Amino acid sequence: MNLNKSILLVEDNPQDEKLILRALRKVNLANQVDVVRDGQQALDYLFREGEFAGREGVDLPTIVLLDIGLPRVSGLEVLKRLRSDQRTHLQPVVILTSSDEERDRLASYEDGANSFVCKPLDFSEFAEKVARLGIYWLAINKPPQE
Amino acid sequence: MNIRARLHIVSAASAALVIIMALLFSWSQHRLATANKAKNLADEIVSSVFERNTLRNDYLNNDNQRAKEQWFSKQNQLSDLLTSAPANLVSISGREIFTDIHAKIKGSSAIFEQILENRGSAKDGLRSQAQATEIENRLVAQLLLKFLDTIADARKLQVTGNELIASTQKTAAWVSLSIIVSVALFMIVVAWSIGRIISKGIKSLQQGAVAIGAGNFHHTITLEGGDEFANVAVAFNTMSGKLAESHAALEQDIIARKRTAAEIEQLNQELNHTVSQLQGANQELEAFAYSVSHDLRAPLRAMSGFSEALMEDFGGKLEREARDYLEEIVIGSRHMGQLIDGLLTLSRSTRGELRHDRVDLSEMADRIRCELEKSEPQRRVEWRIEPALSAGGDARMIEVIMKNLLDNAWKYTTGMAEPIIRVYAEGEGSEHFFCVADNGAGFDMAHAEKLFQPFQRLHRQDEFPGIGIGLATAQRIVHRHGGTIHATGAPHKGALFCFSLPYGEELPMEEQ
Repeated sequence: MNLNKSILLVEDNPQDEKLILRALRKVNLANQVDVVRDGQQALDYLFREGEFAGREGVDLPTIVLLDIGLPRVSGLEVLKRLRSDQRTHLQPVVILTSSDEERDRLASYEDGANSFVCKPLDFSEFAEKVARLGIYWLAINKPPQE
Repeated sequence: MNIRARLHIVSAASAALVIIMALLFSWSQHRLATANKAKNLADEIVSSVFERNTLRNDYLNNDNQRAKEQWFSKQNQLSDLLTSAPANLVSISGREIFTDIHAKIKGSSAIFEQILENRGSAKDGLRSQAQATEIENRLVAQLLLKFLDTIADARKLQVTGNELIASTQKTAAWVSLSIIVSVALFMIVVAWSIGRIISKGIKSLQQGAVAIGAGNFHHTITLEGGDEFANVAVAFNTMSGKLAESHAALEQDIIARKRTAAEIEQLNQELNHTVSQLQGANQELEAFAYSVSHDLRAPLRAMSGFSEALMEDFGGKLEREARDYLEEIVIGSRHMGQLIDGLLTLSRSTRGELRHDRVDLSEMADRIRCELEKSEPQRRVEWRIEPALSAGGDARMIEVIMKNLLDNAWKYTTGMAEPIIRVYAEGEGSEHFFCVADNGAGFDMAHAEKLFQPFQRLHRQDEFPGIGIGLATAQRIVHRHGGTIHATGAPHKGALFCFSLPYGEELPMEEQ
């Protein structure tokens, strides 16, 4: 596994965060995950601003797992800002949300999401989806820039 | 007199004229016939007298016995002719003419018999021939005289007939002329008077129609004389009266309709108001449905997830981590409970009738303070509650507002060195606000518009736990009281929430 490849998890719910990290750990991807807990933090992380101004490590993550309902700046706003910025307009983003509302799904794709994944209620299904998601984006999918 | 009567008089006059003319014609015909009869009789008398004269000569000269017989028969014929003359003819021509002629004929007859007697005497020798001839000559001379007289009388009769014709024609001409002239004059007068009545009536009616056309429904027409136009004027006045009545009724109707339209307009506005309220309620319901499908899932997922993780990862052993997972289950369950409670509060705040209570806000704030201090006895917070704050409205709902605001103030001052929470009032009348201020974590004004939206939070769960529904609920209640709520703040400098309750301002100030 390429060490340059990483995941940015944007999740405000600590329990979901734990469950996601656990699922990724099961497929040995947990060490490559950075976690931020709201939209503003996510933007700061990606653009190396605010508290992440001196951040080390990879320039941009291979994939961003983005929740929609986030404090301060919502997931869709984060997505819009990424798409409107020259540095991040090609950044692969997967919307990972509890919502299965059609309007959220359509809005996500309209704002330029690469994928839309609904968090299932069932734990094992959830764990399997997250593990597959990690493997697909890190090992199978070819990113825009390498 | 009405026009119809006048026209009837004209018709009657025309009919009378025709009848009079017919009578006049028949009278003159009758007179002419009588005159002709008189002339014919005169002619017959003349011819008979001449014939008799010829027969007498025939007898006297030739001693013709048959001529004598014929003379007598002619004599009888003449006598019959005169006695059988119609009475009217006699009365018109004059009785004396007939009597004269009759007398002369009788006289002739007597003379002729004397002649016969004289001849008989001569024949019998009673008289000498010379004597008889002399007597006869004398008698013939007398007879001749009678003959001439009779002719003259007959001529008189003829003249009488002619005079009768002339006078009849003259009378007929004068009578018919005078009748025609008088009838014509009468008709001219009647026609002129009818024309005057009609033109006057039409003029009045026209003026009335123009007046009513111009909207003067109280216009009346005055036409005297009791003719048809007077009747029409009465009907016209009745009509204009009815028109005025129905016009007034119509105006009343229009006013009533306008009033109704205004009422409908007002009802519409109220309806629109209700619709917008319903739309607000719908939005809340939508948010509720959204939360059911979204926010309620996470804690449930946590409960099920960590339970499964516990079994998967640690099996029967209950070690520290396992206990941690179990703790998460508890947290998740609690969170879910909070969410459900919050949703119920929000939904309750938009339903039900608003009560009119007078609330001691200072006392209420103090009560909430006690509860909060009891929940975290180790915390030291300075409370500054203005005394005798009185508010009007639904007490249960105002308590929800105060509870949410004070809960937030308590929560966001956690970890502050010298936490202060203040409750006070400011402003006057419709700008009268109740305020809750703290010097806690505060918020960035750039995100202020999200504060009052359900399930929107400005802080992370690990910073300050919460479900993001308290301020939405508070705003909803304030709006239902016709008021506004606004927030000001800055990160790490604290937050200030002020709200008004105009619905309660109308209440009397004594406590209920």
